[in-house]
Amino acid sequence: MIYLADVATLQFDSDRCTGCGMCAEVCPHGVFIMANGKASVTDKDMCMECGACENNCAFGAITVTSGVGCASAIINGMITGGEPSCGCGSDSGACC
Amino acid sequence: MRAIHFPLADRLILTPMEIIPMLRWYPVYAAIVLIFFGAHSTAIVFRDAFYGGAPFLLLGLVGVLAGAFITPVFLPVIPFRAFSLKGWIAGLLAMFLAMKLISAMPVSLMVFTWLFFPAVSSFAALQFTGSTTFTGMSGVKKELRYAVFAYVIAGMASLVSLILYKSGVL
Repeated sequence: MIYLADVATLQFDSDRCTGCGMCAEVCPHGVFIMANGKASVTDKDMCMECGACENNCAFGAITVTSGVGCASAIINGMITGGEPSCGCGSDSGACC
Repeated sequence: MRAIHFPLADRLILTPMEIIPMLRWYPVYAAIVLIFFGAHSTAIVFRDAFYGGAPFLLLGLVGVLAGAFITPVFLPVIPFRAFSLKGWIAGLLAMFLAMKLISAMPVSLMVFTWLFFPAVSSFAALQFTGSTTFTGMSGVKKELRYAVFAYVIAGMASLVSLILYKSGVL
């Protein structure tokens, strides 16, 4: 299943890529593949913005705006004016 | 690479994550419904509260379950990628089926039913974005931009239809 098209904030700079393959290793949706000694993006729409690729790229070739991706958290953030927060750990009963 | 999938069993297990928080509001909703139908200018009539409110107690439950249970279970086969649209479609279908069990109602309440409950389903389905393995923050933000606007419009129109019903206009 793929979510909305053309919304993922994933950016890949192939000039900085050294071909270590970490992004392809950690991406849970196979957004990256290795070809000709470098990574490349297969389908950006498959990106769930978890941030694993950016966190594991030691060369700064990947940027993505990761964060809590549930509606409750984002609505909470809109109401409070802060970052999206789902209240995990509280008694709300819901968590994302 | 360890690829993540989101099979039916996983979706089914996660449905209580949205059903339970939403059903916590159900007693409040039920009280409002019963008071709305039972309250008259001179007294509260319990018979009217029950007979008038019962269909809407059912529809409220159906609306929540359409969005928080049916939509996640049938997620891959419901059209569109946006969860709010998936939930809205599930809500419309659920209302269509539920209305077969309910006797005829005034136009104002019919308008309320077709506006309000699919919107509830849509909202409940949108909450499920927090349980999936493939939705991202940017997409949910994009959905919320139009969904919140649609919910406000549906809510206001629903309120107007209830006022028209109570005032005896429609």
